[in-house]
Amino acid sequence: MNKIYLKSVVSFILIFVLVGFAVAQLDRSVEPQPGPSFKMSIPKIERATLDNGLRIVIVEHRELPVVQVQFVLRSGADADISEKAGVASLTADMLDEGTKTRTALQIADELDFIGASAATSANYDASIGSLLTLKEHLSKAMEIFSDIILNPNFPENEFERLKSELLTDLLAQKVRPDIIAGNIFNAKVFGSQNPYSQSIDGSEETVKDISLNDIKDFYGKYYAPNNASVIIVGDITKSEAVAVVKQFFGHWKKKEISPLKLFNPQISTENKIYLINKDNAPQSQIRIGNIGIERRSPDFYAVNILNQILGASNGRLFLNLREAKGYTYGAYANFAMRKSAGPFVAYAGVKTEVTDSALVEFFKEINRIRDEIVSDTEFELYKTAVIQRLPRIFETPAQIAGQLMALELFNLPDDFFSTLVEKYKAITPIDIQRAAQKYLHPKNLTVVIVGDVKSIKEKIEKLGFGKIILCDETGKEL
Amino acid sequence: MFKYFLLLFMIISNSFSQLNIKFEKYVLPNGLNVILHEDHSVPIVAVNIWYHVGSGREKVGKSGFAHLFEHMLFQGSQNVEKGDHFKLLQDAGGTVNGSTNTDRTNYWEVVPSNFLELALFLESDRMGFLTETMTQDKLDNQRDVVKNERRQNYENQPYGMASKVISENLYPPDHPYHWLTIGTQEDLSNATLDDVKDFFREYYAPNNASLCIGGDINPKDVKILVEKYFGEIPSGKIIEKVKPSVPALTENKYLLLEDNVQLPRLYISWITEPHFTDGEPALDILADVISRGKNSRLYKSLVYEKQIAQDVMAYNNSAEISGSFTIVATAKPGISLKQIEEAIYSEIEKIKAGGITQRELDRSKNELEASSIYRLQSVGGFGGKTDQLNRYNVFMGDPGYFNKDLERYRKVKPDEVKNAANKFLKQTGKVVLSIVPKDKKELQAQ
Repeated sequence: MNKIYLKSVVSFILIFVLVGFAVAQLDRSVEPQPGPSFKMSIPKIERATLDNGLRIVIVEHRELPVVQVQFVLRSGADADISEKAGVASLTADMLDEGTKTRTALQIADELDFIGASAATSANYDASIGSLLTLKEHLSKAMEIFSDIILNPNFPENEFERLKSELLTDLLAQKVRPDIIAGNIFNAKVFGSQNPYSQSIDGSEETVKDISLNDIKDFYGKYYAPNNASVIIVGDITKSEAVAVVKQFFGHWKKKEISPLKLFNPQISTENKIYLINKDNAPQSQIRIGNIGIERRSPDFYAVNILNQILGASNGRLFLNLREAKGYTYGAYANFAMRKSAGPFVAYAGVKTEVTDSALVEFFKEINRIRDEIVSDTEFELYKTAVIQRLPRIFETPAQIAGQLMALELFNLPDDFFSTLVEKYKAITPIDIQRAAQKYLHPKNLTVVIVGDVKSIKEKIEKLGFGKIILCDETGKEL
Repeated sequence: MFKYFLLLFMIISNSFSQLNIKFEKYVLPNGLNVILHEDHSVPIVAVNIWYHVGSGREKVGKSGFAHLFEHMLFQGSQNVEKGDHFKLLQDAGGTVNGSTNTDRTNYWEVVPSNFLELALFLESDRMGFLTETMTQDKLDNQRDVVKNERRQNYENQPYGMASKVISENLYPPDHPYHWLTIGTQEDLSNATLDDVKDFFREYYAPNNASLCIGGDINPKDVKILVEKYFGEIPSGKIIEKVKPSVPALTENKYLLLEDNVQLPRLYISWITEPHFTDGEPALDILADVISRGKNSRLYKSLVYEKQIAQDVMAYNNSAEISGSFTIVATAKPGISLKQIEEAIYSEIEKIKAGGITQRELDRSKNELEASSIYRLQSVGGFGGKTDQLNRYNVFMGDPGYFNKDLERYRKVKPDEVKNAANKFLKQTGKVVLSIVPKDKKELQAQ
């Protein structure tokens, strides 16, 4: 065999291999593996405080010529007294209904004309004003925005209009079993004196008793620079941001804020099952849970992964009740983390005939995650999902501002975001079990079911899961 | 869902010219349009794919296919087990969704940038290797899911049947906008596996698709991956373009539904024009002027001053084959829809006679321009940058149509809005639907 021949064979094979590689059918039987892990881009947080105590948080984000401003007052529906639930929310709604120098229509016209969008609202922890504007109109937009926050004049006619709209909304909700179930669940878990027992909007009963003076009182008591932060994210430097906040909020006077009294929720000592009748309802709306965890807790990380395993879409409840059993379009759970411990709730709308079977599965899953340690494979999967989701939370200025709000409301350190990944990575399956045992109470659960009582009651009684209590649609025990 | 989608669609119909959205477009030999857009602000990648097929391609008796397909595409393909599409992407921390309307079906994923290849693998596998694993079982299963969806979102949803009744009365029975995207229970029951496979082979081919990949990408690497996963998929047969077909509505149709609701609601619909026609910008601005913001004509009159309505909205839904303009108002308790209807016409007549002010026009244009910038904040998802690039590419053949589109709106004059009101919002030639609480027929319009 001569050398030349050999050489040409080798190169022939080589060519064949190369060409063959290029035309070979792609092997699709194995899904592609991820590339090297991404690096989180954590926004750089800058701060300043005005003499009147107003805190300013700034993130420069130069992608588009827009600026997102978030005004955050550290008093929300948690400052409502229970007979007047809805005051914090209505107060926020009233801010853009008239100032000392502008009518409601003028405020809307001036903001719309520059294409700025402003909104005000309240949640349990805060009252919030948000403004999105083009950079070129920042000064004008901030002038109007500060006007509605600093100088609302609460016109009587606008108040009556908003109150009537709110009452009409609450009336329209009466055909929504999901909303009825959620409201009664909160009322039963927290007991009547706790602000978390009421919806942020209040109820027909509480709203009808709210007067304009209640709104003015709330504003007078809580709206103050030393109780607030202004978060600015977008096409702006720190010094520009500080200058514009100082210009429009600098003269706002400090005042004494009476601290919120902490509330002691009544802890129940047995499972209670509340049934609310909806004649012939094809579905039962189920809510199951107990008081959960406050936002500042060091268990934040473990509980988030715990909830991913139990209650996320593709979590255990979803896979069991929807995928395996076909009882429902979706079954989920979540922990509402607020200044104080909010509710843990597992929920689904299930076909009427399987209401009792669905309850069995809910209880089973809640017990299982306490009693059995999560396998390493399952744990890694859910933990990774929690971590991989993080890059998305900082895409837009509004998302960034929303994240920063947590720092302002719960006094979290500024390195909270840069340490997130490592904190999640440090969680182990044992931490999950510990968290489950601490925050899920299968012998002390509140269960609320809105459905066709005549077809579900007997079967639920047979389960022997707890005391059965019949309620009307407002939650009053019958 | 359908209704909300129409709204979204209307909102994304223009964009801002000073901004240059950089992209690169090329076409694979099999006809697949590929658009790449770099944005390294966060380590995420958006994959967005449009198939140029919606319920407008369906035939009488075969309604609901395009949407049924949206479901079938999540049921696994040759190399992806049923359920894995969601699972793999969710485990990756990604988000996924899809939607169908009259003219197109879109699917998207947003994933951490190191999972781009997974998203391309999944999208390509269901484009190229779906029919092999499509079984009667899967079809039956998804048909049931869709029927449940129909019950949940239409039949048992307060006001849920409005869009169906309106479409059926605006369009004649042989017009493809006559039926809803979700289809009828009957057509869904009659669909055979072969019907569905044929529909797929015809419309889910690379030559009828546009793939947009945006975010933290390196175009050079992405091109190799696109070739790797999509290059081997054969193209389908040539698909003829749909032709606009705008029916004439020459009478007023008053319709009544009793529903499990607390508040009566009124819908008034007129036929308008398809999208990207000369009439569309003035119609969109007209919708803005009458219902966007506290100072808009209908809001100010019905909700703010008279306080006879809880809410009011108006939108022009210009689509590929035809268009319609709809006003929806919910009455306050005890208010009859007749009163609402009269109040609406009274405002419309004012515009028909006196036109709109320069300030109203400028306000609307400024809002349109600003929101076209705000819409560029997200790279993925419904209405994100990748979705907008695909929309312009599919309908105008130019992903960068943003500037030209915005220009159409910029040049609208006050008189054109007045003319649009006169031309389209006719006194005779409309559908008026009343939805009232059970046993409250006396609250209906007319």
